[in-house]
Order: sequence, then C-alpha cells, then structure tokens
Amino acid sequence: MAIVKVVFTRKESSGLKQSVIRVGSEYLKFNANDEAELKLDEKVIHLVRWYMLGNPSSTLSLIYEYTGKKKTAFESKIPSNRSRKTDFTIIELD
Amino acid sequence: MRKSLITLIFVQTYLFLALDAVAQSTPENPFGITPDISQSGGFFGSGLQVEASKGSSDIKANIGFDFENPETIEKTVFSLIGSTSLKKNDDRTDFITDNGLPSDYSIGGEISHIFTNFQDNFDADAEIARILKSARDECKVQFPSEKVKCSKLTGGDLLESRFSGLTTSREKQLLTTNPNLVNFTNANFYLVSFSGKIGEETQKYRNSMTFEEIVENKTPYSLSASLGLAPSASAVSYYAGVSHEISYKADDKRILCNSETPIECFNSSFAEPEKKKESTVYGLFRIQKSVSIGRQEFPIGIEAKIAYDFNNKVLGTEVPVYFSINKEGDLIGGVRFRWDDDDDPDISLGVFIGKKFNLFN
Repeated sequence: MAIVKVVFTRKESSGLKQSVIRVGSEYLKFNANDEAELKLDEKVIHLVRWYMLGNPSSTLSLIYEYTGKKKTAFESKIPSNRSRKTDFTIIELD
Repeated sequence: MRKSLITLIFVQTYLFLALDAVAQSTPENPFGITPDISQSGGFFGSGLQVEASKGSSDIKANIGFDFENPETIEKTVFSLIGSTSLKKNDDRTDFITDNGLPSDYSIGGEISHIFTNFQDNFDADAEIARILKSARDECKVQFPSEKVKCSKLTGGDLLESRFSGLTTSREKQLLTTNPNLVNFTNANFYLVSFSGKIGEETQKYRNSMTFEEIVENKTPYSLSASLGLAPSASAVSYYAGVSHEISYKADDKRILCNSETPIECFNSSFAEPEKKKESTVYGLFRIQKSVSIGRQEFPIGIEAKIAYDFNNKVLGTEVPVYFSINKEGDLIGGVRFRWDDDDDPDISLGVFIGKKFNLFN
C-alpha cells in the first residue's frame, strides 16, 4: 500500500468565524494560504469530518490534490437559521 | 438642535488591494512566528477601509493575524488598526453606544479568543464511514441517473427524507445520536475580547478677552473588554462588556467681536475643550433569521445594545436592523435606531450601509 502526499486547500466565506477539519485522526493545520498537507494511504477510505461556526449561510469547501489529481472533498453551508454545522464525508485516493 | 434627527449614511469601502497583495505574496506567517505542531495561523482581513458618516470621514488601515488550535476548536485573533480623520466630527461620541475616538490620528489593537466546551470524539468514526460508503453504493443502485450526486453524499445527506431508503433505522439512529453531532450542536462557544485605542488631536480655541488663538494637543483613549456566549446552534449570540473612554469635545463655535478699531470678529470656540469621561457597561444581543416573502427567503439580522454610563448617569440604546445584502450574501446595511437620555436627549433613526453583520465579533 503506497503512501501519497495530499495537499488540502480550504475556502471559507466571509461570515465563517471558525472551521475545523480532520482527516481520520489528523486535524488539518492550515497555513496562511489556507493549505495543509498530509501523507495518506492509497486505496483506503478516509473519513473527513468538519465543524463550522459562523453566520447562517456561511460556506466552507475543501479541495484536495494528490499525484496531479484535484478533487473536491466537500462543499458545505450552514443552514439559514443556524450558527454552526458539522458533517462528514469519505475520500479514497485511487 | 445639536444633531440631526435623521442621520447617517455610512459608506464603508474595503480596499483590500494593498495589504492583501502583501498577504498573498507571503507564503509563511510574516511575523516570524512559525506555526508549531498544534497551531496554524495566517493573515486575515487585512485591508484599507474608508468610512464616512455625516460630518466626518475616516481612513482606516487594519492588519490582522490569527492562530488556530484545531484540536480544541480554539482561535485567537490579533488586529491592529490605524486611522485618521479627513474631516472632523465632534458629535461622534455623543451616543454612548458608539465606539471610536474623535481624534485626528489613532492607533488601536484588539485581541479576541474563542473557545468551547465541545470535545471531538473519534469512537464511531469507523462505523459511520462504513455506513456512508455502503449508502453511496446503494444510492447508485436506487438512483442510477444521479451517480455524481451519489458519489458525493455526506453524512448529513443521509438524514434527508429523499435518501432515507439508503440506510437502516439502526444506522440512521447511529448517525443522529453521534456524539460529535449532538455535542457540537449543543456546545457553548465563548468569546473573550480586549481592545484599546489611543489618539492624538489638535484642538483650537480663542481666549474670549484677548482673542488670542490657543492650540492644544489632546490624547483621547479608550479601553474595553467583553465576554460573549453562543449557547446553541441557533443563530443568536449574547455579549456583556465594559468600556472606559476619555475624549475631548470642542466648545460650540460663536462669533465674538472686539471693541477696538478696526473691529475684528472671530467665529471660534471660546473655551477650553471639555474633557468627557465615560465608564460604560453594556449588554448586546444578536440574532439572524430568515424571512419568507413569497417563495423566497431573505436574511435579516438584528442587534440590540443597551449601555449605561456610570460617570454621566446616561442610559442609551441602539438597534440596527440589517436586511441589505451584498453579492456574497453578507448582511451589510439596513436601518438603525439610537436613543439616549442625556441632558439633551438624543434620538436618531437612519439608514446605514457598509457595516457587516456578524454574530461572532
């Protein structure tokens, strides 16, 4: 099973106060360019969970790139009458 | 009347070009503080801002940086703001609910910290990942024309009625009672903030006997602290705070003439600027709702602030209602009511635009 470097890029809308994203048991630690790196196993399902706090309708999305492939992990929006949201998805590096 | 009853169009233009260009071109934290294993950080909201109101206009430059600790969902934000007035407005601090010094130049700083009693939980991760993988496979069978959508299903999607057939009732129960979902929804989030600002302004007035012009430099300043609470996933937040402010208010201008020949008349203040000291406590409530008009939903934000100045024994309130949105969907304007029971009671109803509504700041 190969391990590959994955670069994650987050996009937050202006009304989002705080967001936290973890992949498996690793929290993504974003730099000033909103990029974070992890080394992940190929051909394995990885759970991605995120937490959002902010104004209603604020958005958060996560794009990941590995071995020249660029994919969207999720695009998420806080409901219009809420101030927070958590959800999860799965990604698999094929 | 000392002030207009109908006031205040604020035009606040964010000119992010200059400082954001610096931020964009700086790959690492520009302050030399390298993120460690548990923290990450970066620039946020740096920019140049022009704010104008009736009788005044300011240029503000702000720079900010933040540090996150994702493992505890904590965040600390620092910001520095420098501002200068293009046009003087002595009325700016007449409402005790106002923030800001009426100075020629000012520099200020703020530190705020957000934290929560929520703790992330990893126990059910493997199970919920398996449920989602299985539901995606089942989705492609049940909805063969929506394979793209099926391959992007999230845990939240599985709770929608449309996809209820993709999971068993036991699996659904696991998803809805997942501690991360339940505890995050009900957690308390706290916001602590401290800020200070100091300014420099030149005040001119004339001696009423000799008519000699006197120029004095004054140093207004303000300090404030607040504690905020967001107690649930509802779009509400509560704040309480204290502030202390020293400012200087020029005496009203009058026209006085000397008795010599030739007669000279002066339109000026003829008394020292009055030192104003305010020590204020305040409570603040913010809520954002959606209002349905026909088939469309529109956001509306309400902020209610009540403040009491112990020094001057003045009660004041301010209620801006936001309903104007920009293209990003942020609430940026609306109408605002202000009142205080000063010796010369002030009441104001006006429109404003440019100030973003934010549940958390």
